[in-house]
Amino acid sequence: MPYEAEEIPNKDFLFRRIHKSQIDLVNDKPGSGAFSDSGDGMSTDWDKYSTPHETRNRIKTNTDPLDYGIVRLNTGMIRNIEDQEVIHTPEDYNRAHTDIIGKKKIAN
Amino acid sequence: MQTTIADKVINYNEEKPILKSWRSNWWYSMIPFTQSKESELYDQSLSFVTRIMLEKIYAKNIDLNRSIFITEEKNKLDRTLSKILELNKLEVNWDGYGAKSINIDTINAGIKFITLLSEKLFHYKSIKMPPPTVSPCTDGGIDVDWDTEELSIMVNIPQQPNPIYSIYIERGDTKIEMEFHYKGNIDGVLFILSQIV
Repeated sequence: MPYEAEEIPNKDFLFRRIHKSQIDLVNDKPGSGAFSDSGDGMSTDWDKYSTPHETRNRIKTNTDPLDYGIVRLNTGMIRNIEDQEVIHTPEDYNRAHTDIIGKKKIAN
Repeated sequence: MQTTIADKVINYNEEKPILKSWRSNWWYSMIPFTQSKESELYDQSLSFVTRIMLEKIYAKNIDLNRSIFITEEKNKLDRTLSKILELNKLEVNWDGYGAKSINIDTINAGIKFITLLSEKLFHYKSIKMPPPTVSPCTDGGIDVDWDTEELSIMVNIPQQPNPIYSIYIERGDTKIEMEFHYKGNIDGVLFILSQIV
């Protein structure tokens, strides 16, 4: 049975999985490529229905979960960014799934 | 028991406005990798094959007579360029969100652009930028970020053979974001930089 989309409060957080190739370990920060769209938006998980562990392990490929880090984004702060919307888009196998919709850069 | 990435997020509450990313600043908390993974990633001593490949790339893109750049700046770029070469190992869906792989033409384009812009900035604008951060994008492109307290330059190398590159430059309150048709000449980029640097 499909889950219904809900309104995500500004105080809540979203988890996004970041591959190790997207991290600048010297400066301890992700590169800008880590925040880019796949399809309709940038996929994240709402912390109401997911833990960091679950987000990290929800990988559809056979890659090692330890190759991924997790960044935590505040919903309200994302909504303060121009052109960005936070939309809960639950999937059958992932009730936490949330898209951040809006152009991340001029080219996409 | 080994502490994992996800273990660390639970006690990590501070939001830091660190990343300037194109048209926005993303406020985020980052959970560091496990110690074993960090060690593995930091130990990126260049293999012999990688060094040979980089030497060929430099020979094609940089005037060998400019020995100052060769001896000082080239060494700083080695680690960055070797990381780009590693992106070729990423398979489809490497991010778990359906990302495209990074094709070899895109990797070559990224290496050429970085070496060319670094060299031009060094020689013609007297700008010493730190080696850029490179990160693969889900659409098969590569983002390249040069970031200092005074100046940020971000370039999106699109999945090749797309010739339309994107650039974002920020210095103080001045922010420029645009696309350009790249044909192997970055004079247009340098002109834009000259307007704000």
